[in-house]
Amino acid sequence: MLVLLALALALLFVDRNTRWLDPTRAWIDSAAQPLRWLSNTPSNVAKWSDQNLLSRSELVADNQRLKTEVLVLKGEVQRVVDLSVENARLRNLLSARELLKTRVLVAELIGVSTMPLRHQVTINRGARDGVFVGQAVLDGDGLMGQVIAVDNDRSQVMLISDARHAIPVQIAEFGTRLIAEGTGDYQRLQLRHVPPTLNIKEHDLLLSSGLGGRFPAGYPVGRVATIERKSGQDFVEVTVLPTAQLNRSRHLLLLFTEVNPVPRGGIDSDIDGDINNNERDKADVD
Amino acid sequence: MSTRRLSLVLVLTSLLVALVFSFGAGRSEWLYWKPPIVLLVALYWLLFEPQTFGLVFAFTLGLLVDFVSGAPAGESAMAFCVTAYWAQTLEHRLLHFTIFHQCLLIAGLVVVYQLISVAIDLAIHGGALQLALLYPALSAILVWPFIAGVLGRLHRRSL
Repeated sequence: MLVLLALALALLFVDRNTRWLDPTRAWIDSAAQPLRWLSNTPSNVAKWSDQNLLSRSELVADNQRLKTEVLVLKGEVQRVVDLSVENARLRNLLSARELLKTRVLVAELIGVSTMPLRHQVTINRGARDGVFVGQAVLDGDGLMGQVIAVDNDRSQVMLISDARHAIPVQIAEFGTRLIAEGTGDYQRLQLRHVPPTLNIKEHDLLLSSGLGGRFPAGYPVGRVATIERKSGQDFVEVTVLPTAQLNRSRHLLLLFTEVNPVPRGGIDSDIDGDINNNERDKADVD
Repeated sequence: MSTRRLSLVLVLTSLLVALVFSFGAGRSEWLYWKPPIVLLVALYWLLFEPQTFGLVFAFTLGLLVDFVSGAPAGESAMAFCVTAYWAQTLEHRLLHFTIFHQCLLIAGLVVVYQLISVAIDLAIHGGALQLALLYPALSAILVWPFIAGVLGRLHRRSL
């Protein structure tokens, strides 16, 4: 008894002050791994059944909700037809270019880049479906990013939150053009070169401006989250919360726009180009 | 010889099952109530097969629990050892007790076990002494009849 107690004390001392017991510990721990897995089985089964065995009433309720939603959306689509006709007429009056006709293709997310700073996802559509490099990608809530590499039946999409990405935007209310850059944070974009005199408020909606010819105009990109005016700085620091669920959406939309080539004359097509808010291009009042 | 081996298989299986149960975390609010099942199974064998299982058995098992649970090596070993020693002194009487009396005694043993392991924990990591350390003793009262019943039945059949 006393010998064992002394041994226990010695072990406690050794374990506290040295790392000699670590290999033994690791070995026994890995040997116990199957037992651990076995003890987790009930909770794993419960989780699986939770996911796979929805109750009938839940499904019925879900179905009902979706049906209502479809109805509501159909109603709104009817208005869209009306509005687009009206819009086309007005554009004709302004002798602006035709409204873009768009077609979308639903794609599913099948992979996410393992590097935390590289906001890149893989989708299950590729060249076979007509996907092309530079194509805009949306989810239900807004712009997500653009295709950067196309394989036969999968392609890589860079999200707008990637630190290497920038997208030309405009404030929905005034049409002021700006550039939103990714920061490497899914919940934050940054506006570049915002002059202190600019009329910009929190919760202002930013739409894609269509400049640069890569993204189509008029899709929501984000809402202004914070505005920080630092004295002595030339520009205001503005952060934007993307409207798209960048790190949650599983189903994405690939946008096919049948673009009538825009006369490039008046458009600053360089994404990184400088922005001057006093200059307005008449050719591109989107 | 063959009965002896069968008994050993039973012992090993019971201890493995106890280990599996001890891994099951369950809901976090019930964590304090988790009975030390490995200790209870070990106590069963110590009490009912005293010629085969002694303090060294308890010590080894405690050490295994330490390694597997990530506790400081020697903590459970010491607690198992002391509890086993006390159980051995009670052994002759305990066998004649009713199941209710056995439960109370087992609760007492679990309290001793808890006090020792918590004391070592406090000495090494610091922290506060909580009443929660008595909960496993209460849950052990509920679990012991089950363990003693099942193991007793299997044990008798194997002899």
